[in-house]
Amino acid sequence: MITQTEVDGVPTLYVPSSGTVSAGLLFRVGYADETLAGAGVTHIIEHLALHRHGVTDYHHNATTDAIFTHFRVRGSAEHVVAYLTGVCAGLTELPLDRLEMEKGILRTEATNRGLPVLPLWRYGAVGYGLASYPQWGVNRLGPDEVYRWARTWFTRHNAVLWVRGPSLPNGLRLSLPSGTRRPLPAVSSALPVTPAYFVGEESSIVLDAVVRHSPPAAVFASVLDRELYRSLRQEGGYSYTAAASYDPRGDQFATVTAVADALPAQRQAALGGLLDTLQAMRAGHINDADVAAVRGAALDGLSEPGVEAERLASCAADLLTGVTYQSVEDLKTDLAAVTTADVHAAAVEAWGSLLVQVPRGTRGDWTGFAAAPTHSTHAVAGTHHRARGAERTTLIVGDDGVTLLTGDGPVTVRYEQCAAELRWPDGGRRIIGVDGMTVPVEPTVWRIGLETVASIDSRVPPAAVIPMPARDPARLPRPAAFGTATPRQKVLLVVLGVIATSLATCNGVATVAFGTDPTTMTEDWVLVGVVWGAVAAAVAAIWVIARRIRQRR
Amino acid sequence: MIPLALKPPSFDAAAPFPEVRQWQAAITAGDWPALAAFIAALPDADSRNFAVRTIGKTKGSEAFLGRAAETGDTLALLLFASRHVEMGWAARGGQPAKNTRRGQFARFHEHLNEAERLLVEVTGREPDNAPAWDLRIANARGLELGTAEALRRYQRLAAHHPHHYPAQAQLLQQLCPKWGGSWDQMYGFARECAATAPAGAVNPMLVAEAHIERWLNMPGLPRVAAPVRTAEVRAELSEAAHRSVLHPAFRRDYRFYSAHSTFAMAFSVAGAYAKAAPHFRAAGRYHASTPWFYQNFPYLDLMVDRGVALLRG
Repeated sequence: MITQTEVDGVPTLYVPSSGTVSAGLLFRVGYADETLAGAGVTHIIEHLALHRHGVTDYHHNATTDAIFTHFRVRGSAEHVVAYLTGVCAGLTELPLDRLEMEKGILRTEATNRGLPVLPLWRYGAVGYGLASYPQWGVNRLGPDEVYRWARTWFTRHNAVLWVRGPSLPNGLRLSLPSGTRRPLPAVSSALPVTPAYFVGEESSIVLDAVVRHSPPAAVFASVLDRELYRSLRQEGGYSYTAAASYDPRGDQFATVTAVADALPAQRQAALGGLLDTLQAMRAGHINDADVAAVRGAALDGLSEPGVEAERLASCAADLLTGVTYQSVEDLKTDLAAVTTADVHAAAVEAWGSLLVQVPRGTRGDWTGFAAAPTHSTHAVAGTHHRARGAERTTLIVGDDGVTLLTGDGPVTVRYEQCAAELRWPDGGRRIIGVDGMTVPVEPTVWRIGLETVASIDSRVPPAAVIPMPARDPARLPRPAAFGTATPRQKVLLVVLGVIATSLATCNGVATVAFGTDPTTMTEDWVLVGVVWGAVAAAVAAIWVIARRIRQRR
Repeated sequence: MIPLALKPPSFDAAAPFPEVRQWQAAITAGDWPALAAFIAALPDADSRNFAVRTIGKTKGSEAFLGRAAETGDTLALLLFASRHVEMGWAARGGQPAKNTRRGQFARFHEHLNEAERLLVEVTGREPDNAPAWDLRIANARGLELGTAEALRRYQRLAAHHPHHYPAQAQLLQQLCPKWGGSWDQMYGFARECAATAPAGAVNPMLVAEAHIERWLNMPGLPRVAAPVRTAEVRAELSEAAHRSVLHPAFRRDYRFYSAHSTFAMAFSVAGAYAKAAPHFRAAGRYHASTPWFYQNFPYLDLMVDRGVALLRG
């Protein structure tokens, strides 16, 4: 039985149990509360707060996810008290002298982490979409900003404590500053229409859907998981991995994610199989036996001893986000009531919000889904800068923003909608809009001077600027190279060049001579004109051949 | 009365079946209930497949079918998709890819994508809808989704309809080398379909189609000295004919004329004119545009082959 009490103004959930004490201090803050230019600040604070616990002999860890930061510990009552006291002390008096060192550790940690691609397509470069981006804020965050972030979010009014143990440990104090309970981050959208698809860089198919967090939706995800394994792996043999999962987003909604890998020759079949499976479930072809099996397994899980204590952390999260408490018995009742028709309704809901990443090298247009935006609707007005080399794009630098004009359309970031500007010491820039559109500004690729770069820099909001470490000069972006001439083209160019030059020389002399000679007749001028025509034809031919060579890559 | 040898052939697949004119009349009149009732009354999946494909070929029907599809009725979605498939292939034209302009390809893909969007919904709601899978197998080829996806679609269909001839004919195309398969795969599939089909079913006709595809792939379409002009091929064609169109259980349905016509052409290109004769007689003047339009001069070639066959058999 969970009881709710309070420790130093922090709401506390307690469940009695024998043995060691487990506890968790949960704050309502995560990466979705950050901005792209400040990405990583929560994670840094989590690291700094734990600095005092560098080496200890009891189990503890801390995690930062989309909307929660969680410090958890297991051990004797004394250890738990010492840990939580230390965390609170660390949070109120951040060891900011360690900031630079922790930044280095965070960068190392980041290199081992794969970033999910779908969030940026669904949400853009804000809120939940930041899951797709590196923690670039680490590069620019100063002590003041880190301190302010901690003071705003890591307060006793924005925290919940949970404790499981023989009793609430004696002497447990949580000295945290006061603040306010923070609202959930706004849910942004970069998708005007769903279902939508985009062609990804990966070899596997990944899709997700956002559904209301509910027992039928969770059962739907598990039924989908079974169905995908059956149709893509067992029957078709298209995929080795074919699975679906369910992750509550923390705001009454949940993300259903499905993944299917496949060899190149099988990718369209895996995609077709995945979509047909979803379409069939949407149409109501849902196996009653699957629903019963999933429901049964979930009910068994809820009937195991100690499940109430296991759920303590998620109850704490619910308390923090204002979700009504549900007992295990309530959950079991809800789950037992899930029918195949409810699962069908969840499948219909999921279909409506689908976002599919089709593997690179495959087509997604036949799915009937909308293409997720890869271009902006408008270009900014401003100065056009052509690309160097054989690159066929144009960079427009205006007073309101920048646009990359490509053959398929414009990619625009307006300064007022700028989420971040990455600044390299070599003059290279990358401007990222809140909608996820990205404009590269590289003096090595486009004909822009450093004064143009400086004018962009002066217009980007200062809070969006992210300094980047120096790049290896040998690995700077380069424009697409020109094609090379075939031997035939080379011979043609030389022959035409010789003809054009010699004709032009002789005819030039003749023109001057005729011009000064009063006895020149009309026939002579006609001849001179014809020869100039031949010169023009040769030059035109050279131009056509050169164009062909330029265009071949 | 004009002797058969002199009758000009007709390649209109609908010509021998007067009911097709009733379907077309229902379309012209905008009478959806009548059209739906006609199709519902058809006896089997293959007949419905014929109707869906034939209605898809009806020029100008797209406005009516589009309105009907707005109701979400699966038959209407299916027929509208069939029309899109036809319009797509018409927009593409019959030329090889290198002679097809980019705009033609764009319209072709637009129509097939639209058809897919409709068909994915139909097969989702009705996993056993054979004509929908037939169109989707053809679309996998048109959209170049690859052999694996075409096979997957066929397997989804075969789970419900293991002997659905039109879809097998679509997959046979996919398994030809020109679409990414091989002769072994193509022949293997045709023979398997022929061997497993019930006696008197139309499926062994796939063997004849396979031999015609093989013959077609030879430069200049030579009439002699071809891998299909052997005793083995003739024997195999004979067996296929006896298991299908010449079998007492073979029914006089929508495949009657096209099957006889196909066997007539297969025996002709294999040089077995005497054996082609009964098929020319059965087909009368009604012939299948596929495979006859593979010939350089379909009308002339048909009349010459038929003349020789009728003299010898």
